[in-house]
Amino acid sequence: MRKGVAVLGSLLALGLCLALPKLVSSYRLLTYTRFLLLALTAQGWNFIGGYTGYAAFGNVAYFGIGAYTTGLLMLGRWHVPFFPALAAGALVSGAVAILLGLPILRLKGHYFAIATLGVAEALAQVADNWDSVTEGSTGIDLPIRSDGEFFYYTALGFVILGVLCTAWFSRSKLGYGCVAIREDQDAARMLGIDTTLYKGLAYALSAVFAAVAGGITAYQNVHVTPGDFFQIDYTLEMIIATIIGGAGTVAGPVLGAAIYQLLSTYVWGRFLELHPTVLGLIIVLFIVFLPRGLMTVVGRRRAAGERRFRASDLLANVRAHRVT
Amino acid sequence: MSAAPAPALRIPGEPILVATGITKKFGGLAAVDGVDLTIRRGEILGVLGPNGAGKTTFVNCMTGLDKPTSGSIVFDGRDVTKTASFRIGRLGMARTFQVVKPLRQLTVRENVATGAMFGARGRSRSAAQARARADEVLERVSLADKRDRAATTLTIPDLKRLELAKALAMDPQLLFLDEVMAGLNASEIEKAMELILSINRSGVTIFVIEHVMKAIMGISDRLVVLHYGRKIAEGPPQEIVESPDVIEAYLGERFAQRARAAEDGSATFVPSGEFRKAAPAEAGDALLSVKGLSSGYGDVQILRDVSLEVGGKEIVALIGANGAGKTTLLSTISRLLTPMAGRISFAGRDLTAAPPEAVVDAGVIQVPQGRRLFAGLTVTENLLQGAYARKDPAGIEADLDWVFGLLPRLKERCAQPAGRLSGGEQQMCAIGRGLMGRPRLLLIDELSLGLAPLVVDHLLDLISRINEQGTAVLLVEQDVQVALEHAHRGYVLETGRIVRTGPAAELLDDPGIRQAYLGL
Repeated sequence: MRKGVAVLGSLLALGLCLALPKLVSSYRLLTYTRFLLLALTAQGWNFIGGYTGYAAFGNVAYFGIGAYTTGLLMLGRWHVPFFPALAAGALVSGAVAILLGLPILRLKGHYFAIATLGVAEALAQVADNWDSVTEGSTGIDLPIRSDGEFFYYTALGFVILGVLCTAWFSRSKLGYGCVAIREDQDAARMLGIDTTLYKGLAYALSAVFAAVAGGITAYQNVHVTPGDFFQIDYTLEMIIATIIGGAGTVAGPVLGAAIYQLLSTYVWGRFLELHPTVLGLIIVLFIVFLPRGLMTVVGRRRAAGERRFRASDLLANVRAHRVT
Repeated sequence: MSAAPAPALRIPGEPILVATGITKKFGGLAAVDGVDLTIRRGEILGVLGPNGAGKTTFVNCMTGLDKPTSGSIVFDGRDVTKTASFRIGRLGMARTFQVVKPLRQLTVRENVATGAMFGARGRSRSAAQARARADEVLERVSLADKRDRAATTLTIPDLKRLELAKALAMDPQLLFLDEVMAGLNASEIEKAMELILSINRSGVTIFVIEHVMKAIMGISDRLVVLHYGRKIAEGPPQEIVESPDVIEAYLGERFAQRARAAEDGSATFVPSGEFRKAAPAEAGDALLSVKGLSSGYGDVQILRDVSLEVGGKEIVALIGANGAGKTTLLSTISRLLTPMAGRISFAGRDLTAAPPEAVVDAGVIQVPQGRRLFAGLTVTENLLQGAYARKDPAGIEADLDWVFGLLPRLKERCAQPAGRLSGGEQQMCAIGRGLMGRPRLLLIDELSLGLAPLVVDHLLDLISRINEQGTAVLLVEQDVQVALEHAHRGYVLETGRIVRTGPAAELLDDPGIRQAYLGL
């Protein structure tokens, strides 16, 4: 019964998503595409930040690597078509993540977060200064494709793939291993989990997702510069979206990205000048009242199985997580 | 003893694990010091030893979590000395942690499934098969009805069971159990013993560290005793607990003399040695009075109906085995824990419902177990933190000189970060910090924990001097002899109840003490 409702709901949502480009203006469609791309990066961050518990603050680096690799392959000598170029960007990102992950995943807590920030900054500098390849701060220009529906459907396809991938991950040995690492690394080792390998894989997976989003964004924006594609805002947005929705849950990142995009657009329309302040305030409220995200409210009801969500749950949540 | 095991498995098999010359040093201190140990297939090997004996460190070395400084480990014919810890789990060794390490945000079933996925037979199991295996194991440890609950919602006995289930799900050949019974009540201990025996009968070799004597005597085929990182005895359980060396390690020299005397058959044992506090000193009026106190953590009740008094000029020793509730009692007096029932009054004031800062204000100061110094602050800064609540700069200045006078070593080290001090110096610093609050009553938790005997002697002299200068002391101590020799009176706590009390000198000769510790 419950499962039936879930399947029906998913099908309805899918139908709506597929029909959307016919229903809204092309300007609106851009907003929806942006939401999907944010969801994609958030899904990626969820693997390392949500499931494995490593606060990666530099995932924009892989977004940038994806954008540049895709762009450069589509240009100049190679003229690689978009999808193979995108795949190559994802592979390069994943490989870089493994190489960088080996040393920095040994760090814990703040130290890991700071190291990832540093990595992102260093890669931004590389893009800015490696003139012979990246053309420095001028950036590169991709072939133009002004087809909003194409980008929307491409992003949608990858987000659906992302949901399936996360659902598989959360029930797989890899997922169990990563969660065990998040909960207690010593216990995880004693259970027979190769923590180095699993952390590396989760980190690479998060890089692959960021790279795909970066590649699509690059093709859509046409112009790729270090300033645009390595800005920390991307990292922050993917983290916030994941946390709002529920880190370490299958649907959390998508739900969080939707809410973030909705709020951002709404607040942008109402408070043109105060936009960052108001948005910031709303995010703080979310984190105070639902520190573990919306999905945990849904999830807890399902686990407890007997009662519906009540407002008092919110207060209980606050009490349970308040910082004393 | 009590159990009637299947005889086939009681015959010691070939060695499954051979550890040779295992030494593990932390800094200059050897936590494990040249231990040779052979575990035989099919046996239950019990391990005893006072706190800080190196039992858990030894298990850490066996399971790859700590790399031994020297020595070799051969498991099932294969050298595993340098094998990564996660591979050890796959080879067929599993362990539980003394401080339980559940995967908190997962359900009970997912916790156990994780063990089934990565253990000895994990490779051949899919995630779904691992969940099925988890259900079997949960049935076996009687947690099946709680399998969908989040691990965080479990009580301590259930968490201990979960810890065991996780390890079992790994299909180990050799299972290390690190104090799985601590905190369980008598009937839960019975059940745990049965469970361990049945696991053993199904073919798992078990290495069990346990302080609950009744349990370890009941299930072990052999016992090993560790003390200060060395193996001091090994053999059949009954022989071991009657061995004077073991009694000395647990209770001190005096109790050992009694045991030796009993062995020799000399009926009368004349206590030798001098007891500083043999004559009960003038106690003064009752400063602290605890009546009918019950306390615990959350739903778990530890203390039951405890009554105790400390006079204004007394040193009172509170002794008892691990898990008896000593720390719980101190923490309840200093109101870090809220009593479930009973009354605490101090110098005529009722402190039962007072917040911790009011207790400090009244003059009760706790020197916590494990020191809890501010490791990054200097010695002087740590001492000054102890005067945090005081508002008389001149008095604080004078007391700092007084503390440095009592503890000249601290003065030498006054500008060093507290984290760099040796264990003994850290304990001095913790006591000094307590004194800076001008206590009328000092609560000291596990004075000797992890310290060499000489250092302990020095600290006890210090406490006697502090006491002579007018501070009452309630001393919680593992080392029974040392504690009773320096106290005026003593209380013996056993599973949350006071079972004996009297002048320290009388308690020293009381056979009941040995029973409380060694369960004989």
